Amino acid sequence: MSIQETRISDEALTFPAGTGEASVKNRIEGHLRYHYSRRLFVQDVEESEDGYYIKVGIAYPRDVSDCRKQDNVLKMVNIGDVQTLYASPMDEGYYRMKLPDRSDLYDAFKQRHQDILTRLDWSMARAIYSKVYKLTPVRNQLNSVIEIVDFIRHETPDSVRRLENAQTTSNTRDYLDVFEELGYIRIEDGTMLQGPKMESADIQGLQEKDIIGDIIDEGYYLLRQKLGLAMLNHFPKFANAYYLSALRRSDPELHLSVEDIAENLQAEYQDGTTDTWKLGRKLDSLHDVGVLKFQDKEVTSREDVYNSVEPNIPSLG
Amino acid sequence: MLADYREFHPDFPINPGEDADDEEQRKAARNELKTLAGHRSRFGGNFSQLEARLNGRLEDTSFEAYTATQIDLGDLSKILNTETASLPLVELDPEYFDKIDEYDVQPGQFGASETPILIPIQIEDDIVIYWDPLADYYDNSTTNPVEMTLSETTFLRLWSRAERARWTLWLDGQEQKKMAEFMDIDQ
Repeated sequence: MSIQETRISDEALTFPAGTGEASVKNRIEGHLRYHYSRRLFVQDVEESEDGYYIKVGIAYPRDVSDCRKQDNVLKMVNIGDVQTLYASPMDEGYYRMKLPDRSDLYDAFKQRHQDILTRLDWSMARAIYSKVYKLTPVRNQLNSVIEIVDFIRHETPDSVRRLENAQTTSNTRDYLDVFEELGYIRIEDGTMLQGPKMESADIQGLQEKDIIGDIIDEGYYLLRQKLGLAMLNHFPKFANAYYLSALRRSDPELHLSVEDIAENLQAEYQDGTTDTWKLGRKLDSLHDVGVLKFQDKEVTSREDVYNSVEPNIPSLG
Repeated sequence: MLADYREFHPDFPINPGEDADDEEQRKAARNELKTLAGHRSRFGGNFSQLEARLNGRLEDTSFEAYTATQIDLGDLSKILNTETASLPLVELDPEYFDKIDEYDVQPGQFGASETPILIPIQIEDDIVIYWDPLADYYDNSTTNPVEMTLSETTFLRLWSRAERARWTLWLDGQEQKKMAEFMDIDQ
């Protein structure tokens, strides 16, 4: 075989394995970075009987400087597990790795990043639900959920039709599907009965607010995706535009300006709410219900919120 | 680097938009640069196609983009002293961040960091004088780029240890090329 070194041609990377996993990382990382992105990194190399499995991630910079101290800190966010590449053995200690398209790797990265944010939003939704519950837009959107909980607790057993007729929403049935899926109701021949979750909530003497909190906790994805309850992640998203940076720096005392928050929204959520007046109003609401502190155009943590999200967060980078 | 080059070579067709009149122009300029660098949001750009993309854009002009690896300080000096050439871009090893006080770069959970990109402007008396775009990002006291220095030895060590050892990119506008083309036509 005449190949002398590591190289990329015909959409494939060929390399000599050298002395094992660490050597493989050193040999190929630069080439993959040059080919795909300056921000790619090799997260892990695993040798197996049939070749090497190489896990890659993306490292991108986020400014997490404290606006009070002006301490100029650039935090590298490492998004791992973006894709696993496989290199099969060839002759004479060489390996060949077929390279996916750059756009496929980019799509895999976007998906992975999105998954991490969704999990963070969920953690935040659980942590702040009882606070944002008081905000009018949240209450309005959860109105159907609140009504159904009340109906199950006080009117069942009764017919699904009665509830459908009484509710102004046209998709009562969709809500009931979610409630049934989560175990809060049972439906038998058009009759609604309390499900095991609701029976247990009653035995524990839970308040309406706590029951709805549990429903959001367990049904976050379902409620959002099946019923389009965008408010469930609306406020968590604005809260996270601050807490993302604080959590990444492990600094609940971090102060960010409104401009920093706008930049986080844009960079992480691709949300163009960059008008500081509009953003200020959202932050005011979150301040009023105790999700974060927003004073003199600066945002900082609420200790209870920081502490309840911190242990549950996915690896943010 | 581009803004500096355009100051002395106003014909250079790629405008980074720093002197743009309004936000729209600035945005259009930024988008052109992103396309040239193959940049995608957070994912970043790649260098393998950069020279080709730039030269595609510079086709039919007297300008050309060059990249090289394994060049030495003498070559770098030559680029810096070539009047028709732009300032070069170089890549250094991330250990560079430990050497400076202007800002702090914290690696992520897997230890992956940023790769520093600097713009050397002068080499003299065993010192490399350069601009660091990140230092400018963090310094809002002046509109002029912050001039920073590294000893030649440290610079060379970090430049050599970068993945593409001593990777360098620069532009050059050779008047001779134009002349040569004219002569070709005449004959």
